[in-house]
Amino acid sequence: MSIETAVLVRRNAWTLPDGDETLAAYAAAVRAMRARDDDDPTSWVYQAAMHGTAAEPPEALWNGCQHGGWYFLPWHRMYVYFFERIVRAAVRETGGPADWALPFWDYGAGGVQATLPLAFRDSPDGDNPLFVAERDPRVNSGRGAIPLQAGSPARALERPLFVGRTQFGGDVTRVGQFWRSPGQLEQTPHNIVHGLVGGEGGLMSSQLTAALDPIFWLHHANIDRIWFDWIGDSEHADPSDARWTGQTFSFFDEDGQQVQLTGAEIGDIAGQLGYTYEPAPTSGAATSRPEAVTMNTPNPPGPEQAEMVGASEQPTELSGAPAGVTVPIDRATVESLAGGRDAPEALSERHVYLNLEDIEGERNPGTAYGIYVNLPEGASAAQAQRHHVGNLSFFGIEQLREPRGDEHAHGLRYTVDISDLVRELAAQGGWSEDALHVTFRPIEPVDPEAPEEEQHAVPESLSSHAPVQVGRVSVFYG
Amino acid sequence: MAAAATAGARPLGWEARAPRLLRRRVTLAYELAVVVAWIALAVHLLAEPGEHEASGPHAMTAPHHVGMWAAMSAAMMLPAALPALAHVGVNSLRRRRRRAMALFAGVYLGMWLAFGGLVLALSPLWTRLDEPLALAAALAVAAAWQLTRWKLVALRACHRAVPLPPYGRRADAAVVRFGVRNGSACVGSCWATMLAMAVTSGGAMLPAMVALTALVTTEKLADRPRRTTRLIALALAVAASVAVALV
Repeated sequence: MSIETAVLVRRNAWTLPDGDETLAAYAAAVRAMRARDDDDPTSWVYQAAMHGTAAEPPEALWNGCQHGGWYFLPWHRMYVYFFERIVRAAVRETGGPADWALPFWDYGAGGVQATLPLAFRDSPDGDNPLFVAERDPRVNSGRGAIPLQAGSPARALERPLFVGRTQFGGDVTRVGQFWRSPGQLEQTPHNIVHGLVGGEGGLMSSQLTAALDPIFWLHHANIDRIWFDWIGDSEHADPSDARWTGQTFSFFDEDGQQVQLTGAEIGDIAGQLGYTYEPAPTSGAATSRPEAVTMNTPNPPGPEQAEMVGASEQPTELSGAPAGVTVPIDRATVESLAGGRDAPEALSERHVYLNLEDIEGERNPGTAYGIYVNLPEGASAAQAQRHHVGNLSFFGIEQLREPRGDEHAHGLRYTVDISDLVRELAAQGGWSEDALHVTFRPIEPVDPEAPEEEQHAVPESLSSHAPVQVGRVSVFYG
Repeated sequence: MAAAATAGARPLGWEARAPRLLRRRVTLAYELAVVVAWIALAVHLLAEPGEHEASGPHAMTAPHHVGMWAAMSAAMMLPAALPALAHVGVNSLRRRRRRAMALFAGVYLGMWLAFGGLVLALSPLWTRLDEPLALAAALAVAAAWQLTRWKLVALRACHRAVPLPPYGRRADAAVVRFGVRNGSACVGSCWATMLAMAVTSGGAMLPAMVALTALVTTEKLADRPRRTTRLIALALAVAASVAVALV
């Protein structure tokens, strides 16, 4: 079988065998691509601008990235696939392995793998093409690791459906750079890792600069791998809707020619795109909440069909310290929804959604926040882990008012399904239908040696950042 | 493994599959109000075309003006405001929903009525002109406005929301604030188009209303607003040229 027809294997950047050339070849290719003219579609700068750029005037296919909806995964799979082909061609030109494939960074495996791979850190000679200074210094030096609650894909992998605001792949949206219906995988680990690696003002923190950082591509190979893992479950399926399968996106190949793919042409990565992922025994092993999600119905109602039962009275400002807000629940609305059923039965059948709405800020501070429901005062890190329902990231916040692409402005909104925690709390007497309390705890890079349960602790040294406002926190029953 | 290309993939969640028309329609009453406004305007304009002939709307009495402008605002501008109305409805407690939506709609249309008052006050500026000339000028202004950065800023502001607290005066105040922000953004985005409407009279009014409503609503809901805005600028410029030819 020739290399052209063989299925190439994307491998874990942290577990490559001694003497493997993958990362050295990538470094040489990055150097070669940076040397190309900026208006060459196969150059480093042009490829990054296809994701996003502030440069004007825009050239062909710039600012094409898709976020905040169901096109996030297919667009990025295609983008990374054509980038890999361009890099492979550059690798061959520079004498590297002809079967070169993009490695991935499996930060969700925890431990040392949650730190930046060594090849991307500063080198003694200061001439490493894979190193960029514009990253969070703790991550860039290896002192700080991606916390498991931010890097683990476990919560996303538990989602039974692709489509839906609280599901794996995001809700139905039009084509556009930033919508407001990201799926669980896009939110965690994708968005959170962008902010943690970039920090405040770093390349990875903004979609206008993210793809200029060589680690961006390994991050997205990992996101793509998690999708590959998810679809490997026979219960899971990609969208069959023609708006998804028939949606065409355009890119450049290694010859600088415009090429197109549709959603229907990328679902089988080995058969249709010629690559696969090496088995990842640690993948998904690290979970934030180990208990399985139990679904009462195979197709739960989405938040759009749910009824608002409570909302916070005032905005919550986040600027680096823990913060909290109480959400009063309207008893009259709850009773009107119960429809004569007794409350415990209604609760067991109910889907409860927590919405964080009208989120505004000048820029992504890099810091993300863990979201906790009814977290007791003085809770230990282990207790906090049980009350953790999701993470809030601000990736893309700069583009909401003035999007670079041709699209409308959108508010940033995040929805999480908290039904299982509510049922757990109700069983333990920790749930009241009068109010719930939402706590936000900053997520910062952690000591790579820290046990998982300690990673939910409030960071010892808090760094303040430009404020971001969560306009309202609401609760919907479905 | 069930890839997108394979047959027999499991269907989506029912929320994604349900035809839009069959989903809960929180704005149904307002959609009906739009239909009623269109019927009333059509009946009125078709039954009494002479009333709006030649001398244009400035020849009508002030109450007639207000009534016409209110009906035109509801018919032409409420369709583009339905997503914002739905936002208010869905994000309000059930027992406050009607009140919140009515408050928003009232403030939103109030912004358009205020603009109508301004148009009425300024109408002597163009009543001395021949109607085709005034119309050509208004359409040219509307086409030019489409291409400004201010237009884009206003159109983007039409799509932004404000936090809506759940109870009491704070909830009402937030809905009013949202209505003012959304209404003023939409007036800022579409004022020039409505100005063209204000200088139209007689038998041209109804087709002009239909055409301009289609343009305004398309622009508000289009996937690619910048491109749509430019196409509409082109359409308005062509219309201005036709009006000039009639002078």
